[in-house]
Amino acid sequence: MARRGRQALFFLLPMLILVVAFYILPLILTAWISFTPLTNWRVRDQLDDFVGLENYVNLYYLARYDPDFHKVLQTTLVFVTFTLFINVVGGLVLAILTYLIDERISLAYRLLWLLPRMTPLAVFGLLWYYFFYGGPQGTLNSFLLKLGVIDEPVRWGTDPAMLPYSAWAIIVFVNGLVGVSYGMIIFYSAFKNIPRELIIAARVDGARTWEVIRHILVPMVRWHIVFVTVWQLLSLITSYTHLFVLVQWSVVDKWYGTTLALYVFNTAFFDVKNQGFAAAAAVILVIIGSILGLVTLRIMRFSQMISPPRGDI
Amino acid sequence: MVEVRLQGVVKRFGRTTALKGINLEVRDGEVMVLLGPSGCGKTTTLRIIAGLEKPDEGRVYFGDRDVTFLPPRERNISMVFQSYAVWPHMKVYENIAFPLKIKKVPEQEVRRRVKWAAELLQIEDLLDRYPHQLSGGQRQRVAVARAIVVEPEVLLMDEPLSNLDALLRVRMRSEIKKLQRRVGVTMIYVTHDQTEAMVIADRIAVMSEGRIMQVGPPEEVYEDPANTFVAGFLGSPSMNLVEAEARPSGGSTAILLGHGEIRIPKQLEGGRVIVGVRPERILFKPPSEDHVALEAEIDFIENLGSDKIIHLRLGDTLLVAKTVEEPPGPQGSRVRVYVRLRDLKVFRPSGERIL
Repeated sequence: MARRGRQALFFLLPMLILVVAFYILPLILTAWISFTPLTNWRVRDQLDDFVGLENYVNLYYLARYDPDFHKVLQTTLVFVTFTLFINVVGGLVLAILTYLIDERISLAYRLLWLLPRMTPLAVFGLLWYYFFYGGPQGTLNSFLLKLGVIDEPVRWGTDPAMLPYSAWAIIVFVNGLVGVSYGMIIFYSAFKNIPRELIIAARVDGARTWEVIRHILVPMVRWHIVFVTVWQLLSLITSYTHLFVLVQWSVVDKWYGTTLALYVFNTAFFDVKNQGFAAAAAVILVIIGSILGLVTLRIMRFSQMISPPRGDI
Repeated sequence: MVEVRLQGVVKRFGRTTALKGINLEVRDGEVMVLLGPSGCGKTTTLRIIAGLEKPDEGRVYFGDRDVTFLPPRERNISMVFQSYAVWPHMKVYENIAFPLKIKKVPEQEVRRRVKWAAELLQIEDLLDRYPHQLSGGQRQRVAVARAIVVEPEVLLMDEPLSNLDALLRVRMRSEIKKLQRRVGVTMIYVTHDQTEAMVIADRIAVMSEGRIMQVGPPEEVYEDPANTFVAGFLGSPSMNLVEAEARPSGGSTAILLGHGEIRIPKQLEGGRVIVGVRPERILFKPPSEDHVALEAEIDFIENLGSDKIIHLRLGDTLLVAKTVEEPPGPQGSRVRVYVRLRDLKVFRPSGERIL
C-alpha cells in the first residue's frame, strides 16, 4: 500500500506542483492581502499591516449603499445566467444541428462557429467595437441608417434610454458567441460516440427526429451537459477579458458592462489600485464560485452518475 | 401480419453494388431467414425492408401496400439488433414501453402491453432495472420484448444471437421460434450461422454477393442445393465438391473420379463437372437402394465424441465422411465406400446443378 501511495504521489507530483504554485499559493496570498490596506502596490509598507476585516466591512457597505456596485452585482447575475444559458443550450442546439446534417457541411459549419474562439481577443473586440459603434460609421448604425430603420445613429451600449438592457444584451451576445462553440464541440463528440444502433432502433420504433433528440440524444449526453454547465458557470463568474475590452473601448456602459470579476481586476490594477479591497472581493468571488459549482453538481445529481454500476454485467 | 415482397431490388453504395436485383416473397406469418457470409447483402436487404435504406431500383410491398419509400414508422415493423440496442439511460420498463409511448398509446394500455411482453419473455422481475444491471441474455430478452410489444406486422431480426455465448444461443433460438409461433408475426431473420438458420427458418434464402442463390425450406436447401455455393455453405463439414470428368454413353454416364469410375444411369452432357456428396452420405456398408461403390484409403480420423470425421483418399482426390458409428478400419487401411445415387449431386464447373 505504501508503495502504491508513493507511485501515486510520483505521478501526481507535476500536477500538484502546478496546482500549489499557481492556485493554492496565490489563493493564500490573496486571502492574506485581503486583510491588509495594500494600495498602489506599496508592498514594503503595507503587506504586514493588518487591518482585520476592514476591507470586508467596506465591501459590505458598498454592496449595501453604492448604486454603482449594485449595477455590478446585477450585471454579474444577468451576465452569468444568460450567457450560461446560451453556452449550454445554444451549444446543445448547434451540436444537434451539426450532428444531423451531412458530415462535410457539418465540418464547415462547426469551423465557422469556432472562429470567435480562434480569433485573438483584441481583433474580436475590435470587430464588435466597430459593429456597435455609436457614430454613423458604426457597422450596425450605417446598415440600419441605409435601410431607413433609424433616422440617426444609436449609441447601442451606452445610451441611458436603453440601459441596462442594451449593454447587457451586447455583453451576453459577444461572450455567448465565444462560449457557445465549447459546448458544441463537447456535445458533438458525445453524440458521435452514441452507438448508431441506439438511434436506428428509436427510428424503427417510430420516433421522429424531435423525439429521437428528446428521448435518446439529450439524455445520453447528460454527463457532458453537467460538465459543460459547471465548467462554463465557473469560467463566466471569473472571466473578464472580453468585458474589459468592451468597457475600456466604451462599447458598453461602464457599470452595466462590469461584472464582479472585472470589478476586482479594475480595482486592483486599473482604477483605484486598491489591492487589499480587491483581494477581499476576490475571496468572496471564489467562495460564491465554489458554492455555485457544488450546488450545480448537486442539482444535476453528479454523485449518482459516477457511482459504479451494480448487478451483473 | 402481412406478406412481404421484394421486386428487383438494387442497392448501390458508391461504386459497389450491394444488391443486384433481389426478388423475394415472404409469406404471411412465415419465418424467412436470410443466410449468407458477411458482405453478401443480407443486412442491406433487411434495412431496405425496415425502411432504413432506400433501394436504387425495385419495389418493396407489404401486402398490397407499396412501402418502398415510406419511413420506418409508417411500416408497422419492429427490429432486434445484434448489439441489442437497449437504451442505457432507460429502465427495462421504459425501454419496452418506448415504442408504445411514441405511438401515443394510453398509459393504462402501455402498462398492460408491457406486462404481457415481459411475461412472454420471462423478464417481469427485471422491469425496474437499468440495462447495465442485466446480463447479455437478459438484455437480448428486453430487446425482443420491445420488438413484440407493438404487435408489429413484420418482425426484423439482424443477427440477434451473435453476441450471446454458445449455450445461450442454442436456448434462445428455439425460444424465438416458439415465440414467433405464438405471436404469429411475419419474421425476417438475418444470420450467417447455418445451424441457427436451419432451426429457426420456415424457409431460407441463401445469399451471396448481392444475389439470392436459392430460396426454400431448410431440408430442401440442404438436400437439393441449386448450385455449388449453397451446397458448400450449408452443412458441417461442408459438402464434398470434387472435380471429375463426365463421359456420356448411350443412356448412362460414366464419371471418372480419382482412380475409380462411377456409372450414373442417366445421359448427361460430357466434359468437366463437379460432383458433390455430403459427408454423412458416404456410407461404409452397402445400402439397399441404388448406389455406387468406390475404393478408398483412410487418411486420417478425427474423433469428435458423438461423430467421427473420416478423411478419405481416392487417388489424388480427398473426401470427407462423417459417421456416428465406429470407423470401418484404422488409419491407412483400404475400405469400400458407398453413395446412394440420389445423394450424388452433379454441377457444371460454373456452379449450376445438372443432377
